[in-house]
Amino acid sequence: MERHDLLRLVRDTLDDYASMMPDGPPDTLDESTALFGPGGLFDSIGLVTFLADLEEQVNDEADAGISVADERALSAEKSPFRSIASLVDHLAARLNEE
Amino acid sequence: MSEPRTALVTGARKGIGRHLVEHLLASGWHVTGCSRKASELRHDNYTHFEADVSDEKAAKVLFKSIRNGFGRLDALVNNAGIAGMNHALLTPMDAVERVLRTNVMGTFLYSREAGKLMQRAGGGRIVNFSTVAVPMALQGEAAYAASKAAVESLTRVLAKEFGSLGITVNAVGPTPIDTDLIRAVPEDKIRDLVSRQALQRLGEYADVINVVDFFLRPESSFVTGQVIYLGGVS
Repeated sequence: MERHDLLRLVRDTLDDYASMMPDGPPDTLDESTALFGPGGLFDSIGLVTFLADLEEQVNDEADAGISVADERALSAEKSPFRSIASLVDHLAARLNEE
Repeated sequence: MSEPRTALVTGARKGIGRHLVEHLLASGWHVTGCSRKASELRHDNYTHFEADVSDEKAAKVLFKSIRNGFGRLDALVNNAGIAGMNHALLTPMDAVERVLRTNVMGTFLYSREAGKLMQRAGGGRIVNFSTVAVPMALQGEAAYAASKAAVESLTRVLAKEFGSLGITVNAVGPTPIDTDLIRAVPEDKIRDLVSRQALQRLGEYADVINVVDFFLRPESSFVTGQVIYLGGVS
């Protein structure tokens, strides 16, 4: 999958999870939008459910079997889940490793 | 008419699993079952998968099929389990590993995958299987009882993690039933065990199905993280 495909998938999945965003969906959504933490779209459970769904959709579309939130991702100094851009990069890197 | 409810039952080929599948089918559910071997059960609303519950790849295929076929899953019954009766001093590690893989890792894996499907639909029910061997601390069942103690712990933690997703997670702890699991256990051991129950008889499939039914009922949406033992064992 190309990076722009992954970005589309992340955006589409985010649309499905608008109801789980404590402050509602943002007016504008770009790659710098924070997913988690101060000013982020999700609380912890929202992020977990969003990532679980996204993982399935990525694996379906790419016919892959990546784990989005494995130990390596969770212990990374800079969380791959901090923004849309970092998440898309993370997904692309994991797919490349397969 | 509302859509039929969908259930996945592991260890569905025989014993409690098979009876439970037949009960759910008779109650109008659409049921997917799995076991390591093929099932002889034929029913319009039943699909069987040959899958070892500790096999992650097989689980992904199975859950993908449920997702594509039904789009949702209302109930998971983690019935698949293996027992091992042996003194701890004589128990080989591959036997311990087999018990833990099926009973603990299988329950974890299927609960995780079911949780993903259920959360998208706004909720669901997970029923796990423990045993009275846990509270009774039965000798000769160290690996089995330890694995089921882990299942109970998993039940309580998952109940909390899945609570806000509308998913309840409970467990039933049967007494001995005349199934393959206890066929290798000496008769006097079973008699001794039954004599320690408040209600002194072997369990029946219907006893277990009744508790599973209770957890699956729509009215049980406020019941989670619970382990119900049969026979008055506590």
